[in-house]
Amino acid sequence: MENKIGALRAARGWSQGRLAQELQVSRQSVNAIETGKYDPSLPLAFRIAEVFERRIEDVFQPSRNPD
Amino acid sequence: MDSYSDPNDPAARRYIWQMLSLALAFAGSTYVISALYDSGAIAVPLAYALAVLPLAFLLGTFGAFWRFLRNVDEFVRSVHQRAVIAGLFGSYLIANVWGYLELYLPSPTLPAFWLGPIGWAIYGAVAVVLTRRAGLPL
Repeated sequence: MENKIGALRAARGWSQGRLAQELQVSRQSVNAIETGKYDPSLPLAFRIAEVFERRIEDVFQPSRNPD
Repeated sequence: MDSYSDPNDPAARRYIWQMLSLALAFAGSTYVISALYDSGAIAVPLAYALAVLPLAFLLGTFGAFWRFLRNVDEFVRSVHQRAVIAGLFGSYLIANVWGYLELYLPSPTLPAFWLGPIGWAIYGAVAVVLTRRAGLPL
C-alpha cells in the first residue's frame, strides 16, 4: 500500500514525533508506515485520515506493484 | 505511547523490571530448591510441592510479556509477535532434531529446560533483526 503521509505531514510542518502524538502511537510506527514498511490496521488508517482531515482513499492507495 | 526501545515509556519500563525480577526469581528458586533437595534437607513430597514455585514465576514472565504486547502500539506489537513465532518455531525445530539425534545417534543429552532459554534467545535475535530491518533504532 502506498500513502501520502509524508507529504501531508510536511505540509503541516509536523515532525514524525508530533504525528505520533496525534495518533497515540510510537514515532517508530509513524516512520514504518510512512516509508511503506508497515501497513496500518484499518482503525489506525482511519485515524490517520481523520488527523489530516482527508478521506482514507486520499491518504492511502493500493500499491502499483503489490507484493 | 512509545516503543520498547524508549526507556521512558511506562509500559517498557514496567515490562523490563517485571521480566528481570521474574527471571531472577525463577533462577533463584530453582537453585535453592535444587540445593535443598540435593542436601537432603527436604523430603521428596515437599520437593514436588516446591517445584510449583519456579513454574509460577515462569508463568509470570508469560503474563508480563502478554501485558507488554497489549500496551505497545500495533507496529511494535507486530515486530514482537513475529519474533515470538520465530522463537517458538526455532525451539520446536531444535527439540525435534535433537530428539531424533538422541534417539538414533550417539548424541549428548540436551535437557528439555534449555528449550525455554533457546526460544527466548531466538526471539531476541529476531526482534533485533526485524527492528533493524525496519530501519528503527533498537
